[in-house]
Amino acid sequence: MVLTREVATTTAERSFDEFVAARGRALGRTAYLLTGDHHLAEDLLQTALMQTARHWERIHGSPEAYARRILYHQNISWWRRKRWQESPLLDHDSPAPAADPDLRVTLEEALRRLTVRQRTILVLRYFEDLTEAQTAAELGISLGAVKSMTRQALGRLRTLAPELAELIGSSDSA
Amino acid sequence: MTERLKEQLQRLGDEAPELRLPSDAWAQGRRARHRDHLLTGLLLVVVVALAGTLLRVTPASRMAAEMVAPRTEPADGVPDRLRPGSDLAVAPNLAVGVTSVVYVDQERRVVAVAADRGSYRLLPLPRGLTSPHGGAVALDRSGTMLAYTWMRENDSGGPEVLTGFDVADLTTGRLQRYRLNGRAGIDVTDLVWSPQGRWLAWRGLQASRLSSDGVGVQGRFGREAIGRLDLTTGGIVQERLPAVAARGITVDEDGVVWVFGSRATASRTLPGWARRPASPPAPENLQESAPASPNGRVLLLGEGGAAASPAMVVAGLPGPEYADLNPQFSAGSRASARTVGWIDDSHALVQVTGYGDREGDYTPVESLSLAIVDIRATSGDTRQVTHIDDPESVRHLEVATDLMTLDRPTVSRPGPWSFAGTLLVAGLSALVLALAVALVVRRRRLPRP
Repeated sequence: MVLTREVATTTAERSFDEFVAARGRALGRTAYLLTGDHHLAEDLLQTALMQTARHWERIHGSPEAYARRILYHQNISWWRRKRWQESPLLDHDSPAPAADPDLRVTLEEALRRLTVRQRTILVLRYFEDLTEAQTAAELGISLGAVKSMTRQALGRLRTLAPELAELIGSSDSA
Repeated sequence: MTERLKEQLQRLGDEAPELRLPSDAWAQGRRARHRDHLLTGLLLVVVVALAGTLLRVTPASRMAAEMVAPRTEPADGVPDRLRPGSDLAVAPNLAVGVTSVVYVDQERRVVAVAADRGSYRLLPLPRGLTSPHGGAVALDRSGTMLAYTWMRENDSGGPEVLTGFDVADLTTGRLQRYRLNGRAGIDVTDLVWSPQGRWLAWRGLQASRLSSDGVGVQGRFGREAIGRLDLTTGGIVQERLPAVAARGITVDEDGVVWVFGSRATASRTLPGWARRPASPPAPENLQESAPASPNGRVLLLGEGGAAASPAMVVAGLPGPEYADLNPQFSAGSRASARTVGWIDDSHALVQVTGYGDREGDYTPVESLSLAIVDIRATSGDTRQVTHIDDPESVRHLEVATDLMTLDRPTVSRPGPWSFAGTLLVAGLSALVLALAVALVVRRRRLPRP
């Protein structure tokens, strides 16, 4: 009986290790975009993988989908706890520093100044390429909330980095 | 246009710094999983324990448990420690089941301790009027029959105050009421069961006049009277005592009521005098009435005292033998002893009261305990079996000695559950429930696998 359990544990651990080796880097990219910070991203990835291991036997579908959901929710949960540390909104609404010739850096900077919810919505919609309905399902919020938060996030990006207008498009096209 | 945003985000992701993949995620996940199991198990145990405790202390459940048919299982017993409390639940009726101990508290309320669980309940006895001499309560040795005196106003003409006693069957709640007539009534001061519970004898003061102020009774009292009830027939006989300074009575299994006093011991078979054996004068300071031994041939009388260990006297029935005992009790500087019952023909259960130094008219009670005395040894070998907390709060104590054996005189029981105790358990339950809910909510925030 004990032996059977040990064998099962070894098999599960091996399959988990294979999953981490195969999908860890992709998950890490999402974690980085969600947090915008290298160290925070590592912490977030660690938490998501630990939770995935914790429920490994109970995950019936794709472990990657589960790990991603952990990433999204855990990031927002951290933000809730550390909300008091966030700077006032007005500070963020001022334009980004002088136009950077490197568009990537400007976008990265602007993303960092969004709220966690807004950043998460943009990452899900435009990096993970989920539909509005899929995003709503992933985050457990309504379709209307996804639409309005996407609109707000894009509008804020325009305010924070006017030079990204071409990248983001007009509010109508968003 | 947002296609460009997608491209830029993809590029951002591709160029993101390489993250260190945790090597111990599996081990951490396993530890968390074990903690989950442990926490769930602990919560289950706590919930079950609290539910069990609540069921045990909830008056309704105790009531239900005690309404069940009477039983005297090996689990029944007399508690090794009595914890009188002031905040006790009142039983809905007198069917409280086999009772190990009955005591009268400071407020003259009668408390029953259940033989099976050791729970404490106030008995809903009719409050009536306060007797000038305090009244009397007696539990038979099986713990199933309780006799108690009463006085109440008479609304239907005749005497202003009615007097008598009730006999309650604690297993069924059935009540037999006996009214005592003796001129204006009889204020019963002593009730004693015969060894096997067939007879109930009483002693009291005949009143020439009794009046009530709605709370207590005032009266003019004359001669003493004794009486006897035959439980099998319900027949009562009673008669006045001659002018003797009676200190107490007992009744044997033949229905003979014995009167003992400071100068002589006499016997009466009611009705009428049957024999008057020549007996040597009994010692001074004999205490109260006392039950006879199971074979109805021996009586153990305690002396109230000025000594640390009160002397006791073994009196033969029908006498005239006397034997002195000098049992050693640990009861302070002054103590008195009173026979509560008998375990067998040789071993009596004695209530030992230790007193402190007199303070004016008041003598504080410092200790109260129950001890078994071996009457065959002249030294009166003793063994303390029950300790009573807060001795000042117990006025009178009755014990069902059928529930005691020499091998297992008492059992360990929890204390009474007061209202505050019940609140504490309820509060703890609420706390555990809140913790469980918090845990569930926290876990629900994470997506389900």
